[in-house]
Parts: sequence; structure tokens; C-alpha cells
Amino acid sequence: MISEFVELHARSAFSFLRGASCPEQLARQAAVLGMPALALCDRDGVYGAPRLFATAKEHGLRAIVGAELSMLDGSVLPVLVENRTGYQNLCRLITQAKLRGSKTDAPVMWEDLPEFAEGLVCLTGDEEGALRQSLERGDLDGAETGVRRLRAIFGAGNVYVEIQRHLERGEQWVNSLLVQLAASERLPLLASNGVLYAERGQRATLDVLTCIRNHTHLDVAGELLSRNSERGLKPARHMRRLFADLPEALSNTVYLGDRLQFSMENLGYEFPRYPVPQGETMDSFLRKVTLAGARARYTHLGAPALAQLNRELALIEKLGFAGYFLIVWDIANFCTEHDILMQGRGSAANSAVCYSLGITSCDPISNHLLFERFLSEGRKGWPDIDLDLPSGSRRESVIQELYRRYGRHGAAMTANIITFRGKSALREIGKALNFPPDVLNRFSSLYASGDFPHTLDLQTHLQSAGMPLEHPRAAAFLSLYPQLYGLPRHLGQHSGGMIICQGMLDSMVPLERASMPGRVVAQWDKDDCEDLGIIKVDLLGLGMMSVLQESLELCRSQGRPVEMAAISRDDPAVFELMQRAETIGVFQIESRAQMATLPRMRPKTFYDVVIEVAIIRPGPIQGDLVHPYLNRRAGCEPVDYIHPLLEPVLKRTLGVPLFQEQILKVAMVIADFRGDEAEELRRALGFHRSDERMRKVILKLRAAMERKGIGPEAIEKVIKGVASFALYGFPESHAISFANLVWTSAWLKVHRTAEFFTGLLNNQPMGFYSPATLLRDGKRHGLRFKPVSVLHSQWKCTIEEEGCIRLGFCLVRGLSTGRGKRIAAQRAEQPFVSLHDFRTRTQLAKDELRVLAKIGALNGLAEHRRDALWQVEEAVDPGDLFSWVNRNTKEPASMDQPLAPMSPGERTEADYHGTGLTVGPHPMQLVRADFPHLWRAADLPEARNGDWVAIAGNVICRQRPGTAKGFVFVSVEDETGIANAVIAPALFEKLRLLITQENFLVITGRLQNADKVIHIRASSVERLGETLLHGSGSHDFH
Amino acid sequence: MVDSDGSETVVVELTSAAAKSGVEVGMTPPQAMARCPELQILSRTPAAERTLSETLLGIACGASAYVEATAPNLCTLDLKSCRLQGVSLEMWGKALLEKAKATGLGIRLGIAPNPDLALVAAECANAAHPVRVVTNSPKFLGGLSLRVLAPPAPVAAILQSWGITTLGELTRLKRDDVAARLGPDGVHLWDQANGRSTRLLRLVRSPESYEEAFDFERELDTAQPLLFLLRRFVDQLAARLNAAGLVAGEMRLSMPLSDGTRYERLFQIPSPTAKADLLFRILDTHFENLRLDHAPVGVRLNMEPAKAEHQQFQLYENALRDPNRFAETLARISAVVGNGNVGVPGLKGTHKPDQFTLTMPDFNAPVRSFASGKPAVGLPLRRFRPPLPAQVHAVAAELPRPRYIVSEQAHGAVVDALGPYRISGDWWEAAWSAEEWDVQMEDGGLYRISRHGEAWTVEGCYDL
Repeated sequence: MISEFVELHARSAFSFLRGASCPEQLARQAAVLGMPALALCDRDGVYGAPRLFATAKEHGLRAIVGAELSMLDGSVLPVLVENRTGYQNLCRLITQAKLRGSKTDAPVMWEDLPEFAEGLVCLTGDEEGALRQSLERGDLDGAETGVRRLRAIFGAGNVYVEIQRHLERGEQWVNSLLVQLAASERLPLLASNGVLYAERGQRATLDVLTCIRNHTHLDVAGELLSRNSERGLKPARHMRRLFADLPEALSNTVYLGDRLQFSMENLGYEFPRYPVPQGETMDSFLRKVTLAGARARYTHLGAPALAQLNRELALIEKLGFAGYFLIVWDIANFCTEHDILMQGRGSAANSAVCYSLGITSCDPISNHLLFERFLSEGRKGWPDIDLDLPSGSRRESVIQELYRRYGRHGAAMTANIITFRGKSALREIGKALNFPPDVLNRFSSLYASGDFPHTLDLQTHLQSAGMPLEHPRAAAFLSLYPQLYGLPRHLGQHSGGMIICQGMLDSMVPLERASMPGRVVAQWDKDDCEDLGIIKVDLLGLGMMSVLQESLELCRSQGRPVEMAAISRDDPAVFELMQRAETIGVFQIESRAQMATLPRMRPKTFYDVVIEVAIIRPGPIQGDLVHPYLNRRAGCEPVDYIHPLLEPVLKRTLGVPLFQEQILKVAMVIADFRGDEAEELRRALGFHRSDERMRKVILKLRAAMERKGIGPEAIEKVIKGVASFALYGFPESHAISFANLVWTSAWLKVHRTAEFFTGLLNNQPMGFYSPATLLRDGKRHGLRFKPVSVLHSQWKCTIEEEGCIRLGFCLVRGLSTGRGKRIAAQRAEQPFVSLHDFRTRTQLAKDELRVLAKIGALNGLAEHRRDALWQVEEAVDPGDLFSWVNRNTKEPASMDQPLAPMSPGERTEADYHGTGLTVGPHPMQLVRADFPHLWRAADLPEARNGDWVAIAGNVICRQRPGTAKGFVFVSVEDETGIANAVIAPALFEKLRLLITQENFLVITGRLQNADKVIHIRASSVERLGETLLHGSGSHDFH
Repeated sequence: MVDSDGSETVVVELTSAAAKSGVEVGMTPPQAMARCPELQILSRTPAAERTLSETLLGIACGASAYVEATAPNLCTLDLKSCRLQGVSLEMWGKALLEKAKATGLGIRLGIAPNPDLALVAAECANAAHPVRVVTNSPKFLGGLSLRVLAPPAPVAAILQSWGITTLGELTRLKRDDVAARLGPDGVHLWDQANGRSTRLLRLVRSPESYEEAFDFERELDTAQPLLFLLRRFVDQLAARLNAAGLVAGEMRLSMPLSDGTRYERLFQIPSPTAKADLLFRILDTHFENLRLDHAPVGVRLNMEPAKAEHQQFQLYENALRDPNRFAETLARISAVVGNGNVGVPGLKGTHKPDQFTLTMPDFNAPVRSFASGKPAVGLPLRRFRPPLPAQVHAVAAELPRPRYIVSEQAHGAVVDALGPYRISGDWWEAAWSAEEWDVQMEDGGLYRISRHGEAWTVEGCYDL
């Protein structure tokens, strides 16, 4: 049947607070209603177009691209794309406006339009359109002039007078004027419903979004809200009835819909070409540099390696990816030249070419990695190369280099779509419903972790915040959350994903300003870019890379240089450290779950570390893979390869499918999937947006196994193993890359302890533990720490002598980088001889002086901390003619200073307050005598399994992983180490606030010691004592 | 009690029971509730605090002619002029406490040789010893916490970092040293801590009360005696206001009734005046239409003084010559149509039909243009209030069209119908929805009808 109506003016939630449905919902609903096509006109962008396109394709619907343009005069102009030229014009037009204006206000100028009008069709718009606004003002002349201007800009056949009927009083009058105007100006009429949501039930969501956008609430929003629920997608028969008197307005939608044949299938994207030397092609040059690199990296470049390289290079040439590899190689070279530590991660590590080019650091050949995970012949889209860089300024310099090379319109960060979810979404709904601020505050702050979906349902949460369920608005609150959940809130930028283009990227996707100065962001996220074949390079900042880089530099400056690549992978001391789970500060394996596994795993080889990295993750935990692996490893249960065919694939992981490569290989071996089919399976499993897609590939896998005659039991086991990877698949190559960092950091901790801890302290915040915990761990590993001192400290922590770290000014709260560096610079010029001298030369503010005095950093210039505090309050006269006398004379010990020195407790408090850590005694040490019944962490191994014990300390970590069925893991630190406790859900719910809010806790319960992993199963939790103890903050709920 | 410090809501006051549970000032509500799950959390109510301050000031002014409103909820009295008539200071204080208690106010009292010391003494008073008389200041002050002097936050922070927690510790520092480091605030604090600070009180005058009251020996049967008494009250109060150069901004009438309840009424005076005739006429008009279920057993009339305003009328302004007379006219109309049914109608900002507000006209406001952006189109609608119930026969279809109407006003076959117009709203609490039609009847009448679920109403008719 030929449809009688095509909706050509719909806004999605990607109009950011101006639409209530996702493009996917709109596409699905349009398909249900039997529409052949749907045009998405989001406000000032094509943010939702890729998603509409993908879903429309699945449902046999044609996606038409358009946008509503915010004009300088406040009106809104909808435009539709007819062809690729039109699309590129639209992208460039939006980019021009966005980069010219501010982040929140970037209108299009009327005079911009003629330059970009080719290939675009314009509608006169809805109630926000200039035409309707003129008519509603009674300005008929203005309306005529406006229409003529549009015709002059877009051409006679490219302007449609839009007419909408929402069953609202008064619209006939405006519509009759529109009909008259269209007739008098000989312009076609076009019916649309000005869609703002897929189904009428979403009108409430739209009203809430309207309130959020207008910073108001429903009680006073009044006429800002919808008049009725008629702005949903309507089927042709409804539209036919509504426009029975104007059939041409409907038929024009079909005619225009047919005309708008632009598809996002092929945007004409090209990755930048690498400028190769004269006489070379990109393929030949890639081959040359790869082989040169291979000869450097492989000590014996044997036949297998050469064969693999040739196979990869041939495929790269066939797929036309040589330029991509060369450009990434170029980035890698830039990093090397600028002394920036870099390591490729992800599936790129499966490529011997990447390894040879120095992009990755693990050899896929010796590690038997599957190249198909990275690249295969039938694969759609570009391969994925992610680069890990030290976070901070070094990574930023790489990003800025790419902007410099490809220009403002040639490179952009990918977007990160911030969606409504969790506490902030609920707070916004509460505000829109005009809930009292104290209820909202309590709602937000009572459960600061925002983890309520796990254990606390929304109803209970609402009640706990003081809002009874009988409240007349409680039902609305509860029903709105699922509707709002996941809708886009605003556009952010991805942490490291960059897209670049040969020519103008702004012809592919509109670009706009990011909040961060100097950054430009595209309107699509990384998945959208990938779906549309736009290649991205992930430049990811990793705190540990910064630590490693700094530690290695320190090793060099201390005269004990180490090359990361030269570190032995077979060092017993490193394995012992891991087996003892003394891995605080070590990359990835420092979490409590990792530390609880290490003594059971007892890594003995580098590959054990790879498995350790991969196995303690939500996927394997939820798939119940951890215990089978550990049991098989311990010989407690037999190894099961599911099917004899799979033994070679699963041998390394004792029959447990841990890695994505294994999933691919399993599909290839047991279901005869081709490489690209297996990759498609892998992608479907990892494609979190579509359950449907996953269901389809699982069916295909099952059918293939059945065809091959695999038994039903084996089929079920394979399917279960595959399905458990749906959300959290982990490539083996990625695990190896990460294991490299694990190994390096662990090796440094063992053999270059001072350098490693200095690196850790200088790159906070990062990792799992606070600086205070790191410092205590450093002490347990033989280090000495000296406090911050204006006479000795630099901005960063430094190594003063063998095994002794001097804390730097970077740890002092409230002291700016500039001031900290100025102190060091002034001292380097000439040592400070007195506090007066120090104050005169550094010109620090009173607050900065106070904090330095309080933490004892002025102790070399004063008797004690309070003496310094006393002195810094005295005014210093900068015009004092005799100040030079004071400057050059060390002051005698101030005999008349009247303040008593701080007590140990006061010093500890001041240290934590001023730096977040102390080199002095742990707070627990100060009160230990008051609690003789409490067990010290270090003494727990002496207790027997099942003993009733009480532990206490500074809470340093509270975790409630989604995989733990509501159990809470709490770690408390005392002067001897860290003790761990497990709190059952019921006890946690009962004492939720006590557990989440108190800094120091006493936890009593039975001790459980399994394989030297000790924890207390809590039966009671109390706060420690009456006095307020000061300690470090806790790392909560990860 | 919690209050927001701008960024975070924190505990600002707490009971001793809460303190015993470990709750401290400055904690966030979740932290406080972690210490004491049974904690009752209250928010500050500035209006109630203001009322308490005013009550306290009233009591203070009753006790001494020289009173300083030192801070909200804090008054300082100079007792030198008070005749204690042989009563000890403590007894005198207790009597004052009783007086406050009678108004429902619990107070703490400190009596000392100077104002600042008295303040400290009051801070140290407690439920067990609500009156604190200080004679030996060094002994009294030495062990006290610095907090009793409520030092400015920056000074308090510095003193805390110095480890100075008591007044005695502060006074052990040299005054000059403190001055060099903490400036005038520190010196003042030091003097206060020494009990030596002296200052003059910034006196406030007791707010003059313009109130007259009378309790009847028996219940009144008619309004005549009441009006006679009110006329006297008005004359007296107007004379006092005139003498003070003031006018009445509003009048509050209060009458205890025989059933124990109370009749209260506030009269806003549109053009504040001290003319007795005008003021009485407002009351007289009110009593013309006042019907009470129970007889009054007393009457109290209070006039709120205001400064007289003088204005000269301009040539082209439309301000009322006599706003009071206009108000009186409105009061008479109000008596007929009912309270709340008089005023200038204005549309409410909602899509719900027939939603309007009535506001009293403000003739002093600048003249506004009524021209809006949208031109008025269509015929005027005369609404039936309330809408008339109707039976409407509609042709069954996806959008049923009205064909025949039976109602009090519109009756007969529908010749033509425009619609439906759908409106709905308030889905978050009291959802409503309607489907409206404009219909033309056989007799040529044009009506607006509306469907709410299955029920139909005639909303109004259009002027042709």
C-alpha cells in the first residue's frame, strides 16, 4: 500500500529538553504506523540522525535528515536535506554558527543561508517559525516578506508552507491565513504534526523537560506546558481526517519525502592521507616502516613473524587502511619525540604490524593472539586503535597537536551524550514537581552514593526522604523516572576519542565548541561515528601512565635507569608481592576484589597476571567463571573444555572462556563462522544498545552448531559462555597490554619503591587509594617520608636520599601551583633565613601561610607549628626600611611566643586537614590504648578461622559492586595495615547512614580466613568512640 | 535544626539529647542521622524567629526604659533606672522570666556590671539556672569556652589554630600582641574575655501600641452598643495617631465570641488616614452585613501606624481621588456578592479554561497597556458559571460529532460544529481533560460545549 503521509518534521530528545523520545523510539513508532519515511529535525544539529538511520534501517523505514535552525531573530527554521551537497551544507552551516557563537547561544544569521542553501528544502515551521509568528502578530506584510525571502534563498521549489493541526483552539485562524498565503505566493502546502514525542503518553515527559529547560516547576509553568497530548506521531488515517479539506498538504509530504533521497549510508568520509615520500605509495611506505620496525623489535625476525606481517599488510592494503596505520604511527612517533609514554591498547595489540610500528607493546605472535579480533576481510568499519597516554598535560599536548595538524574544521573530539540517570535525574524530576527543597536535599544527600537501584527501590527511597507514597505527586514522580531515564540531557565530550578527516570534517558532522577551551566536539558519540564509518583514535589518559613515566624519569635521575621494555617478566620478587596481595598502588590489581583473588590465584607467570586482570571483572564474575577457573587451577575440579574441538582454544584458560578472542575462535571452530562472522558475533555481544541484535547472532550460532552436529549439552554451555560476555567482554590483547602496566608498576614497587611511590603521590588523584593509604603502604615497604617543609620541599614530592621521600607542596590544600613553585624558586636563589625573610620574599597570602604553619611546613623557621601560626598573623610591612636586617638575620628562638605546641592528636588533625595525610602516627595509634579489645589489622592472621573479633580504623573504602547481591565490602585502616569486612545487605540497610557517613568504625564479627584471604563477616558496626577522629577520605562504591 | 549555608545544609542548633548522641553543629543531616537515627530534623522558620524577637523586645521594654535590641533573640537592658524595691537581682530576674513564660517564651538571663559580660552570663545560663548574676568577672570568665562570645568566624578559626579554647587562655595573651595579630575584632574579644569592655547601649524605643480593648459584662444582642464603643475607640486612636503625626495603615478588629472562638478581621486602609470618620465608616460598613453565629463578649481594635503620604494629583493621571471611598464601595459590593468575588479579573497562566484571578485594583500603579502580541480574534464568549449540564447526542465515529443537544439553554439539533479542541493538564496531581466544540443550533445560537469523559456541559454562548 502506498502511504498517504510522511512525517517530515519531528524532534527527538536530541533537541536537548525540547523533545521527549529517542530517535530509535520515533523510528520504531513510525514503522509501526506504516510510514515509509521519517524526517528528524532536531534543534541546531543532527545529533540523533545516526541513531534514527540505524533503527530505521532495521525496520525498513527511510530516515530523512533535517534540522531546526535557531535564527538570530529568535525564530526557528526547519530545513530538510535533499542530497549529499545539502547534507554537507547543513553540517557546515551549523558548524559555522556553533563555532561563532557561545556554547549556549549560537544562532544562524539570515545572511548565512544563501551560501549553504543548495540541496536543502525549507519548511516555514511551526509556532516558533517566523511565518507563523508574523501571522499571529497580525503582520501579514511581514509574513509575505518572510516567505519571499525564503523563496529567494532556497529557490521556488524548495519552500513549503507548513501547516499543523493539533486540535487547539485558534489554530484554524492561523492555518487559514497560511493557506491563503500559500495560494497567493504559489507555494505548496505541507502537513506535519510537529512531532515532539513518539506516543501521546510521553507528553508528561515533555512537560518535565520544558520545566527543566525553563528553570521552573509545573505549578507555575502554566502556558509553557503542552496544551494537550497531540504532538505524537500520527498514522496516515488520522492525518487524512485532520487534513480532509487539504489533501494536497498530505500528498505533498509523500512527494517531498520521495524527493529527499539523501542517505547516511555513505557520507563520503575519507581518513586523512599520510604524506609519503616521493615514489612511495601509502601501502609501500607502510610496508617499509613496518618491516624496519619489526627488525628492531624482533630479535630474530623468523618466518612465522614475516608471514604474519605479510598477511596483515596484504589485508591492510586490500582494505585501504594503510593511511590510518601510518597516521597512528605518526602520533606514536610524536609521543616518542616529545618524551610522552604511549602504549596502544585494545584489539590493536592483536596486530603484529601495530607491534612493529611501536604502537603496541605486546608481541601478538609469541602471545598467539588472534588477528581477526582486530581486522578481518569482511569487517565493516575501521579497526580500532586506542592509545594510552599519561593523563594531564602530556595527553593534552597530543590532542592539541592533532588540532594543529588537521585544523579546527578537520579534527574534533567525539561527543559524550550525557543522559538522565540516577540521582541527578530524580532531583530534576523532583524540582519540576515542586517538591520542597529539604525533601530534595535529603533525597540526594541521604544516600550520597547514588547506588539505590541495587537495593533500595525508588519507593522506599522516596519515603525515606520524607515524601509519603500517598503524596498526590508521588505516583507522577515514580512513573516519570523510567520515562526520563536514558534520555539525552546535554552534550559532553568523550574523554579521549578524536575523529579526523581528509578535508573538512565539518562536512560530515556539525562541530561545536566544547566547554574546555581550545577543544572542538562533534555532534556524535563514538558509537555513532563508528556506525557511520568515521574513524576515531582514542587518546586515553591513564593516571598510571603518568606514574610510570615519572617513576622511570626518577629512576634515571637517581642514577638507576630502567627501560620499561627491558623489565624481566620473570621476577620471583614481583610474583611474591602479588601472591602476598601487597598490591596497593599497583595498576589494576590493587582493588579489594583483585587483592582477595591474588592469594588464591598465586600468579607464577606473566600470563597468570593477564588472566588475573581479565578475570576480576563484572562479566566473568556474573558469568560464574571465577570460581571454576580458580578451582581448576587449584586442582579441585576437573578441566572441562566443553567439546574436544575447543581444547586448543580454551587450554590456556583451563576450559573457561575468558577472552573475546576465545569467543571468536570458539565460533570459528565449533560453528564454522568466518572471521568476519565471528567478529560480527563479538560486536553484537558488545553492542549494548540492541538486545535484538544479540538474540539474532545467538540464534545463528546455535543453528550453526546444530548443523555441525554438536551435542545439545555442549551447545548450551557454549551459548551460556558466550552470553555472559554480552556486556563486559574483554579482549586478551587488551588484558596483555594492561598486564604490561600491572607488571611494570609491580616491578617498580618492588625494585624502585621510592621512585614508584613518589610517582604515585605526584599524580593524585588516581587509583583506588588515597595518598594517606599509599603513604602508609610505602612505610610498610620500608620507605621513610618527610613532611612538607618550606626549607626542603619542591612543588612535587622528591626523593631526598635512599628510601626517603620528601613530600611536596602539591599535597598542600589551598596552596596554588604558582605559589608552591615560587617558594622553591626563591629558596633555590637563596635559602630562607627567617620567617620574616620567607614572608617577604614569597609574598604568600595569610591563608597560605596559615596552612603551611599548621602542617609544620614552617617548622624550620619557627619553634613549632603554633609558634609559626603566632608569627604569621603578625603584619609584615613591605615598606619597612630595615627589613633587610631581618631578612639576613636568623631570628632568635622567640622566647615570648605564648602558645603551647600542638599535641600529637592536634598535629595529626592539622596534617589531615592541610594535606590529607600525615607522616606522623596513624590516628588509631593515638587512641589504641583506649580500645584494648580491638584487633590490629596486622594481628588478624594470628586469629583462628571462625573467631569472634572486633576491628576498627579509618574507613578507606566502601564498595558495593553490582555483582555482590547487596553485600558491602568495607576496608578499615589502622596503624598496622588494612583489615577487610563484609557487611550483609540486611545489616547495611539497618545501619546505612552509620556505615556510609562515619570516618572511623568498629566492626565486630566472625573472622574468615580462606587461603590467607582474611575478612570479618560483620555482625555489628559502631562508630569508634565519642571523640571525632580525623583521617583520610574513603573511596566509595566502585 | 538545619539551615543552608549557601552550598550545603548543615546542623545549626541542637538539643542536649542530640548532642549526647554525638550530633555536632556543622554536620550534614545524613552525618547527624548516622549518629542519631531517631533525630528530628527541623528547618529554620525566619517568620517565627522574627515574632519571637519582637515578643522578647516587648518584654524587655516592659522591664526597662533603656533597652538595646542587640541581635535577633537577644536584648540588653540597662537596669540602673529600674527600681528593684529591695528585691535581689536574681529574684528580679526570675520575675522577668515568669513574665516571659506567660507569653510562652523561654528565656535565659544574665546580669552583670557591663553589657558584654551580661551577654556572656546569659549564654552561660541554662535550664537549671536560668538567671545568672555575675559579680566576680575574672573567676566567672576564666574557664568559659570562647564560643560564648561568638567571635567572628575568621578570628575564631585563628584562635582555634592557636589552641585557644577558653576565655582565660585568651586573656593570658598580651592585649597588644592580640591587637597586632587579630586587629580590632581581636581586641574587642580580648576585652570581652576580660570582662572589662564597656559600651553604650544602642537604645530602641518600645513600639507604641495603638490599641483599645473592652470586655463586655454580658453578651451583646445587637450591634449598636458595639458600634458605639468602636466609635469611641476610633476617635481615641485617631487622636493619638494625629498627635504623633501618623496615620492608620490598617485596622485589626478582634472579637472574642461567646462560644470561646474569636472573630478576626483585617482592614487594609487603601489611602492611610487618621480621619476618624473615614476609619469608622469602614467598620460601620462591615458591621452592616456581618452576621455572627455567636454573640461577642469583647472587642479589641488595633491600628497599625504608618507615615502619612501626601500626593499632588497630576493633570492626566487616573489615580482615585478618594481611595477610601472606593474601598468602602467595594466592601459594600463584597457584602452582596461575597468575599473573594470582587476585583479586577485577570487570566491565570494555564490552559485550563475559565481560570482567572481577582485582584484589588492598584490605582497607584503605572498605567499599563492592555495591547498584547496576539490580536483578539473570534466572537466574545459569555460563560455560564457554572457550566450547564447537557445531554449531547453524537454520531459514533472516531471523533464523535455532536448532533443534538438537550440543555437548559441550548436545545435542539446542531446545524454545524467545529472541533474538537482538546485540552488537558495537571497530569502530575489532579489530571483533567476536556474536548470542546463550538456548535451552531437550529435557532442560529452559537454555543461552546465541552465533554469531560462521558459528561457534556454547555460552557457558554457566543455573542453574535
